[in-house]
Amino acid sequence: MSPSPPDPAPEPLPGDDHAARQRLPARTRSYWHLRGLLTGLVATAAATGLFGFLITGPPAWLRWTVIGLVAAWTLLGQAMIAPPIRYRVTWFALSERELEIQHGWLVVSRTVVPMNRVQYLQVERGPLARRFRLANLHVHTAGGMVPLRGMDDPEAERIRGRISALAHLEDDL
Amino acid sequence: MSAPPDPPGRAPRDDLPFRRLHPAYLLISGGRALRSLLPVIAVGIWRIPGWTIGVVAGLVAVFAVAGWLTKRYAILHGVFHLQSGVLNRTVHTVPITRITAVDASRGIVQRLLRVWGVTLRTPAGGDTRSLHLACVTAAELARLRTALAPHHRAASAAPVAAGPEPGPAGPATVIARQLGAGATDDVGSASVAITAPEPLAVLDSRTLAVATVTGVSIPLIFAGLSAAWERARALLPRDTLRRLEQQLFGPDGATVLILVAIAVAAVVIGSLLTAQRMARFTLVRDGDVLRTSRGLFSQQTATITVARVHAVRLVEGWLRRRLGWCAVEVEISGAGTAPSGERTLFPLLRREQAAALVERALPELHWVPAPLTPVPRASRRRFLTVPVWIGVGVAALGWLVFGRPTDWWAVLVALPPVLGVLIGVAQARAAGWALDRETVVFRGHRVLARVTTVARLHRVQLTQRRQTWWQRRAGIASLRITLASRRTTGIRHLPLDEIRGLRLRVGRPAPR
Repeated sequence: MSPSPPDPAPEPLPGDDHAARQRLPARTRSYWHLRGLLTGLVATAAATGLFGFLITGPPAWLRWTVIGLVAAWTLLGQAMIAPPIRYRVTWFALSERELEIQHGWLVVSRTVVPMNRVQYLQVERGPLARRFRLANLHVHTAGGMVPLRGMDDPEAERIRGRISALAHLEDDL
Repeated sequence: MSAPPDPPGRAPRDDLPFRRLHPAYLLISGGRALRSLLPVIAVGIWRIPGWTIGVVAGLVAVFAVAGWLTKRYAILHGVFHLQSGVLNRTVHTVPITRITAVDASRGIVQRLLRVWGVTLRTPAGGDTRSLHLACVTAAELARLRTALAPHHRAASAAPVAAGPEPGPAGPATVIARQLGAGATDDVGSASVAITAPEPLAVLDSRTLAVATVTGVSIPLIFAGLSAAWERARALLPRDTLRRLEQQLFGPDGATVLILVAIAVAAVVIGSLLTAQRMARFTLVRDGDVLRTSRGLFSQQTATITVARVHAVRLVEGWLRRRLGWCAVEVEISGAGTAPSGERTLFPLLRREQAAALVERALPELHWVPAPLTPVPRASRRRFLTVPVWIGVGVAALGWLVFGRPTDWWAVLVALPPVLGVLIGVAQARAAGWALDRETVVFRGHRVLARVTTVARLHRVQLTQRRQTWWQRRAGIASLRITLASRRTTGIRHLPLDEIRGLRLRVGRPAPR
């Protein structure tokens, strides 16, 4: 068996160039705060109704502990603590061959999506996001979906078009 | 709806024109409809007038005939078409290049009627039932396989004969024993010219016995029967129960005898189930596809397109690992949620034979087994964190639900954290990785089983570096890769430079 040629040096990842990293608009932080607050209020109200009035079997201290944990996780954790951390952590970098995304707050994930793996793209705007002129971009591959949440709306459309062109999705549309 | 005409100048021998399923579909479809109505019939048969049963039977017959008349399929110009639906007409159109596997199976009724059920899988997955042909003859199955074979799609110069289902009629032989070519079953006896490829491996009787003893069926059935007996004891009147126990097991030692009887029943049922799933398991490489067949009473065969195999997993259960056995599974696009039996390349073989079998079955993988790089010693204690905390949580929950532990309960409450420690230690010992020009290998430990995944380097869909706050402080991270089957694998608690080295190579587009 003849010796195989040495491996070429791998190309750097898109996010290795710090200048290529794109961040989210500042209003995304306010959007996450408000969305977390609304979600937390609904979740806390539901937990209070469930464990305060409907499920009365377990001891009162246990039921109110559960309600307190739900309120702490949603209103304190998701609405107050998470948004600034997520905003600081989140970035994305786009090259001709790959998309790299960093996101998360308790667990920070950095995901690489090769363009030739992109199956389809989805831009999602809820009513609250529309008020803030924001959109969520979902990049779908055969292996699953990678979210890029809280993007500036026109920027999300621009990135969607660019990925679509780089992934040659337009040919199939 | 009529079939589109063949374009001029193209040899129609590659195509299968529109056709209906075998008329046995009428019986099978009607039987299935009646089976689904059994609960209603069982409840209402004493209360409803006799003529309603006639009406129901008539409706079932009408729908079976209408379903048979409307369900038609074809392969035309490289595209599989399936029309179906009595009231809502549905047409499925799938390019055959997108079909990742062709599974054939037949239960006892289908065996009696000498027909097969065929399922075509695509990466989209999920909706596999919509590409299900309930009733085709053996000859038609061979024609379908020929038309869907990858080498046939690529070059349609000469008709390539499809291989038969490997060896269900052949004797059980030792693993990797080469059988003579030309073995045929009733597919082979069909009118299609068939040259049987040689099996790569056949599950022999001794290995089947090992699979039965080391599988999870017997313990699960034992637990289920024990729970059912306990439930019956709670529900039955005490006198009735005592009389029953004395009649069945005699006046003395009833508890021991009951446990023995439950154990014997578990062994018998478990053995039958395992034999039904795995008996006569045969693996064949036939050109660009892999074929497997298995089953004692009902037979199942699967055809896997080699190009769609993205990874191979070696699964070593807790007991099997101690005895030196493992199973080989494949990761196929879109088949991540399929039962593990449908992903099995070979259900049980000696650990030291696994690499050789993978090499013969999937030489395209280019897997060169090499020693794995373990997780650094300093990181190993971190594997304890998650299982121990889960164990503590389970113990706390048990304490809350069942109250303060007294006597022997105290031992049970302490058990989950101890199990957590043992699992964490096993996970730390098992964790390792290797990288070469074509493959990346990750070894990890689930709750009980050790799993080694060999993935094609350039077929990985997503690569994800994950880092918690504590990992960041320690300068380590975890790596998770996602395959086209939507299943994931990876390694935890590696130094950042090793993670970066992996990220620069795994899942990257091929160099320009």
